Amino acid sequence: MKNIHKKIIALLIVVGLNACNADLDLAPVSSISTNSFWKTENDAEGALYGMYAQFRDAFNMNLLFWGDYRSGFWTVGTSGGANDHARLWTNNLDATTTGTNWSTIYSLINDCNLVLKYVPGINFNSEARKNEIIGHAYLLRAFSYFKLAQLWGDVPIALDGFESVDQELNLTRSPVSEVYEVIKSDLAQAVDLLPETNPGTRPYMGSKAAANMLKAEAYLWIAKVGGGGNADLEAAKNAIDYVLTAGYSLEDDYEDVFRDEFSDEIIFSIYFDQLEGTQYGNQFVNQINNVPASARDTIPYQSGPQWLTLNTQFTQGFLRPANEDTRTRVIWREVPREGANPIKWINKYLGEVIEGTRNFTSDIRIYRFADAILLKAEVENALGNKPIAINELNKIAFRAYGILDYYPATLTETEVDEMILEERIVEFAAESKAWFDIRRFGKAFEIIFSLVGREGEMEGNILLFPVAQDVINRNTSITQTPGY
Amino acid sequence: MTKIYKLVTLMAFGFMSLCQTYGQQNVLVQGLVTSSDSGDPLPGVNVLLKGTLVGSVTDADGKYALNIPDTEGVLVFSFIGYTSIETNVSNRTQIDVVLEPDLKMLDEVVVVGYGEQSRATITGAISSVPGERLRDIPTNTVSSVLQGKIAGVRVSQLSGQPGREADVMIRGGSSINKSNDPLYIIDGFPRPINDINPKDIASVEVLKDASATAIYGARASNGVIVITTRKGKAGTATINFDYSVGFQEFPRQIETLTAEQHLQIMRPAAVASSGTNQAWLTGQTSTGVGNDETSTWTTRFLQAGESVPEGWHTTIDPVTGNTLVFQDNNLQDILFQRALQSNYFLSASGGSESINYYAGIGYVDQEGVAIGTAYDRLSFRTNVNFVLNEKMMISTSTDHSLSGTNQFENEANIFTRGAFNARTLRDRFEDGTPGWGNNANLANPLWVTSTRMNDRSNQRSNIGLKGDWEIIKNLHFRPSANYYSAHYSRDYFEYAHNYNSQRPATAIRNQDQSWQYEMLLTYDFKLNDLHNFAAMAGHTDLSLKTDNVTAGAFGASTDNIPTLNVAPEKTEASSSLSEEKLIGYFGRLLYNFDYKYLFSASLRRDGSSKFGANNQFGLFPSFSAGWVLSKESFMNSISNTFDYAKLRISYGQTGNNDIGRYAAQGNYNATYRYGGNAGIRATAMPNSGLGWEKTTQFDVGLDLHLFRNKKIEVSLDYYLKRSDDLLFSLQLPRETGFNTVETNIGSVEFRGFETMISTRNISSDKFSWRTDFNIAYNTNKVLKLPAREGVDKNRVNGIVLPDGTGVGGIAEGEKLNAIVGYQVDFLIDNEEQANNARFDQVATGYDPATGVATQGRKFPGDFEWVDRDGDGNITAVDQFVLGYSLPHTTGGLTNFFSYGNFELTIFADFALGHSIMDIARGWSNGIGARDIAPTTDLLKAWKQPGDAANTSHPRVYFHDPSGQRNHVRENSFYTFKGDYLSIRDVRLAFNFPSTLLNRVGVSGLKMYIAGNNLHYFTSYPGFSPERGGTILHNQGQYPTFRTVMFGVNLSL
Repeated sequence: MKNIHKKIIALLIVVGLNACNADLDLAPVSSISTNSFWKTENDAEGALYGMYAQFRDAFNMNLLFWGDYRSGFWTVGTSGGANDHARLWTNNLDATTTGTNWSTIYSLINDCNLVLKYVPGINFNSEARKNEIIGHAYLLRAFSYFKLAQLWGDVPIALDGFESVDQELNLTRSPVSEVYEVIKSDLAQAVDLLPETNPGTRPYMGSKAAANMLKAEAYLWIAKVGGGGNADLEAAKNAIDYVLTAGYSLEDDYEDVFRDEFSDEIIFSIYFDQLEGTQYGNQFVNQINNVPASARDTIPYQSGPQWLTLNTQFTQGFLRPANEDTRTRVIWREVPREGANPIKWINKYLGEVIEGTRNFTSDIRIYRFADAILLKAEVENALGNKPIAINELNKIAFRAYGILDYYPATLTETEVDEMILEERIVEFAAESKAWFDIRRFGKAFEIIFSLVGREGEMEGNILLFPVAQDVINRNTSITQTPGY
Repeated sequence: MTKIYKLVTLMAFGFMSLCQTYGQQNVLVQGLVTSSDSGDPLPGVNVLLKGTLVGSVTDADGKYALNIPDTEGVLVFSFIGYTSIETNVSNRTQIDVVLEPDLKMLDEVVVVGYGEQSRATITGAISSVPGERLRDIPTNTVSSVLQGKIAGVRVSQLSGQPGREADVMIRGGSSINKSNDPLYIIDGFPRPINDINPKDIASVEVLKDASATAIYGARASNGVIVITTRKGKAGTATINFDYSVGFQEFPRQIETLTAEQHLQIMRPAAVASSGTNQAWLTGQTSTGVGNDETSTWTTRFLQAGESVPEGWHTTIDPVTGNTLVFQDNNLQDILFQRALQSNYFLSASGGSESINYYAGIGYVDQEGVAIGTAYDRLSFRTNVNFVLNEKMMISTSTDHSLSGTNQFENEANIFTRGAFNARTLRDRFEDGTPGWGNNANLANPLWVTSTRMNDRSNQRSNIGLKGDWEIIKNLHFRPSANYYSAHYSRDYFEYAHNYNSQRPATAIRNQDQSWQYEMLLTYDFKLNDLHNFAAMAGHTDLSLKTDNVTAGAFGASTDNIPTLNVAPEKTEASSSLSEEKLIGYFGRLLYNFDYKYLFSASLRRDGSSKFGANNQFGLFPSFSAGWVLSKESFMNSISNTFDYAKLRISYGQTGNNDIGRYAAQGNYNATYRYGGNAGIRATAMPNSGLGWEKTTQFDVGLDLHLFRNKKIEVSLDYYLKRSDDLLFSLQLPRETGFNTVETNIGSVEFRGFETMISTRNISSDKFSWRTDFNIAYNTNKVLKLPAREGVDKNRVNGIVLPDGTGVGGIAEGEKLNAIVGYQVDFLIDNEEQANNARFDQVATGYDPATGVATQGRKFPGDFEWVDRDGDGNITAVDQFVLGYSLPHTTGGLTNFFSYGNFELTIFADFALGHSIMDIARGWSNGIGARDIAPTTDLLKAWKQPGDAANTSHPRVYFHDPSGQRNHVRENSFYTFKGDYLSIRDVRLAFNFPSTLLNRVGVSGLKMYIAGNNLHYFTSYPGFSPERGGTILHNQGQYPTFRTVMFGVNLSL
């Protein structure tokens, strides 16, 4: 009996002593530590899609804040006032306004920087695949810096990747001219490294055509807004010419562009599906509460509120009646109701109804062939080749109005520019391009009601965004956009 | 059905034990045991018939009753702190005994880290609560029964969800933005207190100062709560059955506008608001008249010739003059119900010289005061000690609990949002389904409960084995092993409904396991009978492991199968595993000279897997000393007043390792997806230099017994804590792409006073009255932060102004937990004041007279805000500290009365000095476009010039976020003092006379009525004043409620 007692206690001692030797160096099992990443080709593949996931996060809802609202074509939807968004469409921004925080873009930039730092050192079975991944990083970084430059002008430039608290973490804003240089050099790499892909195959991944679209837009911006010259216009022209011959084409029916995710018109898009987020179109469709039961067969509805919609400046000033422009019914719908308010909604991005529930899974069209045609028109007009410009412009007009040579050759260069902008505003309605387009044509103080006469405000920087107070609180080396 | 089955089993178990008790004994001996110094009855005294297993324990009144085989034999009366007495039965049936205190000991043994110690030799700040006091409180969580009992321990019930533990903080915590939860040690083993039955507890010791806690090293900075469960005592089996049943109710509604008031006030406001949306007046909204029988809202015009539907209301529309017809449904009435609770508890304990046991089984069945919520718990515990021989002992403790919880998926969506849908909501559609509310996240609670299932269950098991081998006299070797496993499962299912017909389902299975192996060596010895030593050394090894499996799916075609298997689309499927390890070596030496001069020193070395390779180990020393003044001859002259006096002083260091298990290593998160491909991103920056947070604490205390017989006991403490190298989630520049990094920064100081007073006011045979009072004050200050160039006070995580000054966040010289917002200057009363008002950056400035919005412009009825930087503009930098979220003073007062067979306990606790910024209330008042029912605050709103003399409430604005932001802005108007006094517990009990009971073989029968959370005295108008800080509309929680229970307690 006594022996048994001793055995029990001896056992406890042995177990206890064994435990003493245990190692305190535990590595995570189901997540990845910084030390264990960037070793294999698979890591690089994972990082590639992680980077695109952040691309989607950075440029989903924010695209509306950055690319559409300030055009002033917006108002609150059926479900009422959406927080401070009116401050954007009345151009009364301050350091607390939605959209003034650039954090999501810099998160994407850091993802790109880490890919660019580590992927070149990883062994791949296929060198071509390695180059593609690097090309994607250059494309997304160029896209990021281009948006930053368009929105804030001078911005901090981070090119090395942040990985440790021992690095210098407090950057300052660099002159926009240096940002343009980064964009140019990244685009050169992206155009070089990205593969040629056929239209309709994975348009949500970057390609040589996507890189050239961005290149054309960026160089055109630099030429017209950033004080660039003819060399920049020529570069834009070369880039757009590549896209025009890359196999993409206009859909005959404007609606197909928004109903078919793999349309031959789509050059670059952001991927959404039921498991991968909700795109900004959910801001536009009426909530079930506001659609009477009798109309639910014909009017799209959703579970969430309709936060905002286009205002009459757009729907009456730019949109033509549906019998004149085939785009109108795709862009805007208004169903009258007896004794009650009409039901209105933007009809472009409707997602899909799955098991009776609407999911906003439409891919966001970043670049499509219509954009390429209109950029071509804009570049050629800027280079003094008006007939080519009118010819391109009429391709868009023909699809819209069904009339050949809609715009006559007699238009002046200025008029052609005006018509290009007008077509762009309608063609890309609610696609987060209007603000950038209006700025590129230098028409912000004419077209946008709330900006008329405000050229001198904010020390002349009213067209730039202020920097969020949160950004400055965290890094006091960041100065506010002068005037704000 | 299962409940009845459980109950029957419980009862059967009880009667089985009863039968056993009766078969054997035949002579009844009874009596009273009292203490010689005070004359008070002594409860808990062991009474044993020498050489047998027959024995008993005295009850709360010091009485015992024992059946013995014959009239001969020797009874042994023993009690810790008293000298044992043996007495011959010799044909007596009434044997009263007076026990003499053991003069070497001061009658009380206190559980300390890794051992027990006589109260007389304690030199640290340790407070004890005996289990009997906890058992009487009609709540079901350990944390809630501790509320208000101990100076310096702040317990606040933040959520009333049945089964949820309250928030416990000792001496103000030690950290800035890491956990301030104390370490819980239950029977020597660290584990969560959730689901432990308070009725199984023998005592709770709270270790507050460093000399008490440093032995727990790296986890001890927030104090340690040591819980000891009940053990058996040698003697006859004692069986106790307790049953209580009662109700819970919700006493504090927030007054909302009736449907009629809502329409009368908000429809005109909709006309006068900027960005007027037609829907507000004519759409399918709470205030709009575009509703039909398929709308969730009821408001519409009465049609010509139509009679008012039954139960509907009418009013004349102030906008059009037509008749409005609508329903009035106050959702708070629908959400809150009077709920039942029943509580069963059965325990048996006893033992012999070689074995003793305690077994308890409890079942709690608690409905929530909010519909659709509930908690039930079945708990078992057995503690058995085996004396193997003179040198060896083994003890086991095993417990298991099974609890089920029904709760809301998102409490804020119910309690600060859904319950405040405008009262014109439809009660039922034609098909019987409830009205929906504004949207799926701002929905009618009844609709939520009828469309969702959210079941959680927890199974927790603990198995402990301890050995004790006395190698030579007083040298003990105590090895122990412990295993704990908590299995959590959650199943969520949404039936197909109007907003989502895809029936999403989620299943989570989570297991937390921990293992601890420990060895202790203790040696107590004396030199010259005056020098007393106690030495202890030990080693502990703790491993923790968490496995989690989560899966989600949607697209099922039926509501009948609420599990994932029929849903074709799987949304997520992940499993994860994480581990942690802690190794500690520790030792302690106690020395005293004749119980007069007391010394203690301890040292611990801890290693944790959480830290960077170079910082895994930390060293935590402590020293303390005590001086029993009352033993000095110079005190003799005043010894009648100062019966006992002890001065204590201590100093030591503890640590805090509360960070993520792999936080130091950075993280690449692999849960991203793009285009159907798995993606990986860097989501946390590594910090290989990450190390311990160290807290150094100094404590000085005084224990006094005034007058003889502990008439008044006083305990005073002052402490000063300094936490260095604070573990902190530091906000990184946005340009890095990361949000925060775990790092060690700076230092914070905490200091405070604590007082506990116990008095025996009246103590006679018939009537006695005792009072316990405690009060504690705690404050803090940030001492040092890493240098930030150009930033005043090196402020982090706050607002920094261009000149470097700032507000909020954390800054040197400032107090923690500040609530920051705009400060009301005055209420603008007329046009002149409005025209002269400061430019207010976030005000839309819409003028209903002209239809023009001029940003920043103010109108009569708006607040003028205080301009901090004096630039004439109100911007984000014009914010002030408006209060602090934690109280500086907390305490409690308990009065115990007993008169004859009656006992009455009244307990109140209080907290002072905290504030609550109730933005959720402002949100209700100013968010018309979300179809919210405003509070009755709007009846007091400013209406016309001159009103400012009579009201402080700003004007009504239909949708304030797109208006002047008088309501929807963090501001002083919506900041309330949180001070409260709570009538926490009142209990009245009646003990049936033992003479009556003995005839039927029952040793005790008690009936009682007990109430909990009976009333708050507070000026805060919201649900519960216990929660400080800022409450946004999306941060609401289940409010606390009142409980009243009726019970019966039977002892055999």
